[in-house]
Amino acid sequence: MNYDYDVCIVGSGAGAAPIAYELSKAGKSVVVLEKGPWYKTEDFTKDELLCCRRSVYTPNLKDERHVLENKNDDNEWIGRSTYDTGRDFWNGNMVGGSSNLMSGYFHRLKPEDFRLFSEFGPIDGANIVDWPITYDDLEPYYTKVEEVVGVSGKIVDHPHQEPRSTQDFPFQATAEHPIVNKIDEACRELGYHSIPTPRAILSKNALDRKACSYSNYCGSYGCATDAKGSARAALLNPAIETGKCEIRPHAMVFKLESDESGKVTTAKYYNEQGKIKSVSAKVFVVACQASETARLLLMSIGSKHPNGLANNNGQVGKNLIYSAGGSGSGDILFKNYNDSEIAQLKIQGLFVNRSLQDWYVIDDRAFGKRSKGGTIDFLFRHANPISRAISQKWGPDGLQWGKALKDSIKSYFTEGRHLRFEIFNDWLPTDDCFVSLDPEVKDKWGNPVARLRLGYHQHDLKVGKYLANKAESVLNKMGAENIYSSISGSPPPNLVAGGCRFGDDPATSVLDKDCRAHNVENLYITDASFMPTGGSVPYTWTIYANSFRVADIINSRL
Amino acid sequence: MLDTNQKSAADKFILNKLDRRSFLIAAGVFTGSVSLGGLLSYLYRKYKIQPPYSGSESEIIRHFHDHLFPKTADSPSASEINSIDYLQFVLIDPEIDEDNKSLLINGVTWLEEECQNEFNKSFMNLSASDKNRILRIIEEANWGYRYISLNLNYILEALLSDPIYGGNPDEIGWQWLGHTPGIPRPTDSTKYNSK
Ligand SMILES: Cc1cc2nc3c(=O)[nH]c(=O)nc-3n(C[C@H](O)[C@H](O)[C@H](O)COP(=O)(O)OP(=O)(O)OC[C@H]3O[C@@H](n4cnc5c(N)ncnc54)[C@H](O)[C@@H]3O)c2cc1C
Ligand code: SF4
Repeated sequence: MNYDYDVCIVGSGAGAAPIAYELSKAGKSVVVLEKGPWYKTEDFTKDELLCCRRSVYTPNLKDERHVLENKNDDNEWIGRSTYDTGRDFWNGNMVGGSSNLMSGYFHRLKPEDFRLFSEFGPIDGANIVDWPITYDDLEPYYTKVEEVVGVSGKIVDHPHQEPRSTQDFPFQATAEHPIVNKIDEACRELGYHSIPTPRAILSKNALDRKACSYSNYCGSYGCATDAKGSARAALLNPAIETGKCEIRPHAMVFKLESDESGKVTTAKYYNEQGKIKSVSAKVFVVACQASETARLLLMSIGSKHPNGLANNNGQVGKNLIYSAGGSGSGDILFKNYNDSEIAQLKIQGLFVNRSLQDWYVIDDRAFGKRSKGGTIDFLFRHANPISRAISQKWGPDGLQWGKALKDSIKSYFTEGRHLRFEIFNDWLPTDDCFVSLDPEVKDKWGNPVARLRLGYHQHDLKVGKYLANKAESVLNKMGAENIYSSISGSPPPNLVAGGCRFGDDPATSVLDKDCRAHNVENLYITDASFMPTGGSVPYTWTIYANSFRVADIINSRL
Repeated sequence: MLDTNQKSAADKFILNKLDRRSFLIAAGVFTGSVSLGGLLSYLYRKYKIQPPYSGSESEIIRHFHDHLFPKTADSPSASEINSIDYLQFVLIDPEIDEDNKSLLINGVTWLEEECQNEFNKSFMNLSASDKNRILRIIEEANWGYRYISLNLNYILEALLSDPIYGGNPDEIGWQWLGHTPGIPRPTDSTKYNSK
């Protein structure tokens, strides 16, 4: 049989790009179908209006939306479309996906994350399982990501440092804001081990990319120097240079067609003009970000797949997870410091880059039995002036305007710095968090949209609160004021995984340990969908590493 | 999370009190079929002027904006940051939510109606404390809350967006708050809606 390409990849973000990179370098022909536009480095500016106040990097909700199910006061699941609520669940819709917009806080998982069940035991109401691979299987690929995508950092000794095959990062840590000295000092006094946060950001010119310019507008913005290790800059650009990789932007894949044997034969997509096109390939890889991946499989009905591709056991979309936790902040007010300290505090652009993993495992009687904990990252509040000013429009008695509004804005911008922390802990997989197809709501092409049930486990909040308390104690020690934190079961749309988890048993998983669908011989899934449990760190380093691992597997079969 | 600015994404559609559907029902005004185009041509016919706002409506909005965002010793007023021109830029943008546009256009009439009912005067002729009173009254209504909130959003966008969009003249908003813009700044070929 003749194929258009060896490999067809759907999606072009962190899960997709290592496949394109490795297989095109190995001389295989690769096509990448991406629904969004193709922005180039020179298109990226620090324009808050474009980045963050209008739907440019994400679809307009009138055209494409989600339906989100939350529990009402009567304990019923009620679904409402994001168009109706304004709660946007899109991330990055462009070549390179959301990895263009990430902040690049990078942590590896730790060995115990691969065996959550055997290490910590069951928790009522949670579908916890061990992974079918171990940390040792993934370690070489974490190292590869450090070198190929570019991760900068510095290893320091701490109780939960995961094992490494190399001594330190290939790129020295990015430059740090002087406030890290105050964080380190407070942590020392408290007996905590503050560690430099690894970043997927180049601290020097390397890998044919420029060093970070410390632009002060990193998360939510595309990078104008290519220092950020986006899938586009780090992997797709070199893949294109091989001459073996073709990228088709504005290609919205709506169906993977399969034959009588159950194998995928073609990907069908709408092009920019709305015309239906198709591509055939030997192997198909899907990486549309977890919920859209499940949606595409569910839409891809075939004679062998009457309930959707790879869904004969009803597992597709199940056990969706997010990053649990929340965030908090404290004000470092200039009135408490002398002039030279204020000048230091006012420095813009340099990174805070401090994390705490002392409670990655919580072994504290006051908490209960030994449990999986998580990570705390410190950072300054986002520099975006419009959203910061708008956050001041709510006063004590409702909306505020006039002098009251102006005074709030002025004080918010000029009287101190707002040091934030973010908490990452496991979002336990449960039967109440999954993706299905909405029976009514359609996108602009007439296809059903993803309906997300967003239930969470109470245990997630307990862990999150424990960690937030620790983070608050650091801010307290630093002399911060107005300290608060908010831990909730509200999922962060940009940190999503699961839905097609891997495992040895086809009855309870969608993929085998190679991330190949149990009953579709030529279908691989390489975004975070494969993760049965999420670990207590943001996912992207693990997505990249696993995708490099699967690239080796696909390469060996082609 | 992770430095994502999700608050502002949510704020694109003022969701703090009500979602869109309940607002439309509660307001009982829009049927969903009232398009901006329809409203604009109606205004066009009625006032024989260029949409979106007639001269007198612009005047009312100017008073309204300058009340929401008045001049102080060290900071500009809404007029000084071109908030009304900025609002026109918003109203002609096809990507902006149609319901929000309709509200921005209708709201000025409704505000005037409330002022006439309550004080028998135009908003423009009210004292500062009566302006506050009427705004607190309409804040209690769904449309009023959303109307004030939306206008605040766009005034603050006019204050702090790149001057390339018509607000923040001579970077007056950034200067007031000691804000340093990020580099690279948008240009005519990279700015919003340039493609
Ligand atoms: C503002 C922000 C900050 C973040 N910060 C961090 C961080 O600091 N650390 C971290 O680890 N992670 C961070 N993340 C998360 C990180 O970006 C994601 O984990 C990662 O990009 C996910 O990879 P992916 O391949 O699953 O999805 P993406 O990278 O989003 O790629 C998916 C692509 O698939 C395309 N697609 C979807 N459906 C279809 C279809 N049907 N047909 C064709 N194409 C399709 C999408 O348009 C998209 O381009 C952040 C994300 C955001 C948005
Ligand atoms: S230059 Fe540095 S700070 Fe700016 S977006 Fe790129 S990586 Fe982030």
